[in-house]
Amino acid sequence: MKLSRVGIYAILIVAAMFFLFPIYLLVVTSLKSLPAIYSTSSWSLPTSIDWSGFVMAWRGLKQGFINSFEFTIPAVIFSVFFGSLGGFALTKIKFRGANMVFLFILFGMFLPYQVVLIPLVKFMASVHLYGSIWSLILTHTAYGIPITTLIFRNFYSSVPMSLIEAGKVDGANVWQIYTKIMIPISIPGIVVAVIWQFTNIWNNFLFGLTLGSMPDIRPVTVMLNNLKGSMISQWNTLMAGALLTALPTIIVYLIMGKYFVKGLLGGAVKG
Amino acid sequence: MNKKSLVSIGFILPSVMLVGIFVYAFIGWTVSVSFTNWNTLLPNWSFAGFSNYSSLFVNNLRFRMDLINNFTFLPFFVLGSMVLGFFLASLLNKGVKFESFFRTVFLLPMAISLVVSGTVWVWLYDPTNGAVDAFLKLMRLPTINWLGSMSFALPAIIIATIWQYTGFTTSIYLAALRGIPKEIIEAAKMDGAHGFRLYWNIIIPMVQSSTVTAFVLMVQLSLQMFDIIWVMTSGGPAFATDMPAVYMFIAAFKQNFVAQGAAIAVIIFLLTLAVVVPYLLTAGKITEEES
Repeated sequence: MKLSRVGIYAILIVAAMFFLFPIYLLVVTSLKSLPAIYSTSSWSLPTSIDWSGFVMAWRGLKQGFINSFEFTIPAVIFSVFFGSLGGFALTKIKFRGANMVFLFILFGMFLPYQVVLIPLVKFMASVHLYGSIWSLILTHTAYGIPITTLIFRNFYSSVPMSLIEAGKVDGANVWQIYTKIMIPISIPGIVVAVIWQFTNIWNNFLFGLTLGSMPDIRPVTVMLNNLKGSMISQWNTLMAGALLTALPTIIVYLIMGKYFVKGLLGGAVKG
Repeated sequence: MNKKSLVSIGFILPSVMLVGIFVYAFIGWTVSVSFTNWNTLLPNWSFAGFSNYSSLFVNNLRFRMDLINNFTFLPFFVLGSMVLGFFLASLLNKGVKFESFFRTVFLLPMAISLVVSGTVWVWLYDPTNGAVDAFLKLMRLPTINWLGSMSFALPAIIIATIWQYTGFTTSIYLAALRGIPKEIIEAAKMDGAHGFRLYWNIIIPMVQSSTVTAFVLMVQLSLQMFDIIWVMTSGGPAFATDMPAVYMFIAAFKQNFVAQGAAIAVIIFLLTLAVVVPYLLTAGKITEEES
């Protein structure tokens, strides 16, 4: 099992090709004309750039883009805010049963969403939110809380208690300690939680499929899947649509990848 | 109750309430409905005993196929993503150049929606001009109608899913490998442990807790696999890639077999509990001992 340096690089490059090839195909196909897709091999570069796929895809997905931003942004803000409040309470205000409360919330991280899907729809209908963008905001906020609480609990446990004590000595109440001391030093934690939540909520499909029956709230992921049904074999349009759908999260990932990994490990590795 | 605990309750209350409703109350609702005759458009809360469960196991061929598919998918996906993840992480841990480039590339699929990856993989497996068949042709091998074939559709989906999640296991293992003190590796090497023996006797046991974490996460993902199947095959051809989560969705939302869908959901839930609860209990124990 002793590998030479050349062997290591060779394997890593092959692996990188495996992971990049579908992305490469996504890009080259989206830039071809429909006849070119069927007259050339699928991985060849386009001989001339053709934007018709993007034009068609954008026409089909534009509303979905607006909808996805409309519920993703508030849901990210709410879930991160509640997670931060909870994480603060769990680590810095010692109260009885804090560990039980944490487990109570954490359990939601492993929830198979199938087991809540039917009541979710009935609940939204009974509070007259079914069909409203608020159904998606509320849903993504609620199911985001376990992971954001975990991220902030881990983050705040490394903040020394003496900082809180100092605030108390200065006469600050709990709310002031939270807003004046904790929030300013939480920026890295907030960035991790925001990026993780943005990626997850934007990429979500199942909640959009069950709650987004109306086109004016339907997420872009659901619209992309519908496009796939209506544009069968129009691979330039479908790849352009897929690329557009993936673009917001890919951009965030490429710029803030370091924080994305932290969110990932924050969820995977216990504090 | 003193003022301090009232304030702290105020901080945690919104989260507890939302999780209480959206997780616990909803689970309770689903479990209750699974014992009713609500297999109609209109609510019917009359008690049905275990009939929604027994009908799944006794004479429901679709559900039997779902379980077979799910438990065929599971070991290949879980082992595939874990072994590949560990292998790639070990290579990345050897002090290679462009390490961050490779890490970024391996993890890229995790940042992408399964709807996007599913759509791309359908194009890759396309029987007319897809890249996979074109490659087979180039190698002078027979081509395969991947997603249209009873025997190749599930393996095709397993490959796509491994592509999606291997970056996740790679990151988990890389963090674990980085956490092993250098002195331990050096000492083991001094004792003559090299190559395979170094991994088998020293490194693999030292990353055991990450192996457990990765295992629990991947099994849990397998049990609720929905998005990529819905996008790539919708469970076909002829239920060859159907899974409990897909059947649950169809039963509950397309056929109005609400109680039947609830029963499937409860089964998925119980299977998940079987791996998650022992994990949470032991992880909780470890945290307590450390603090």
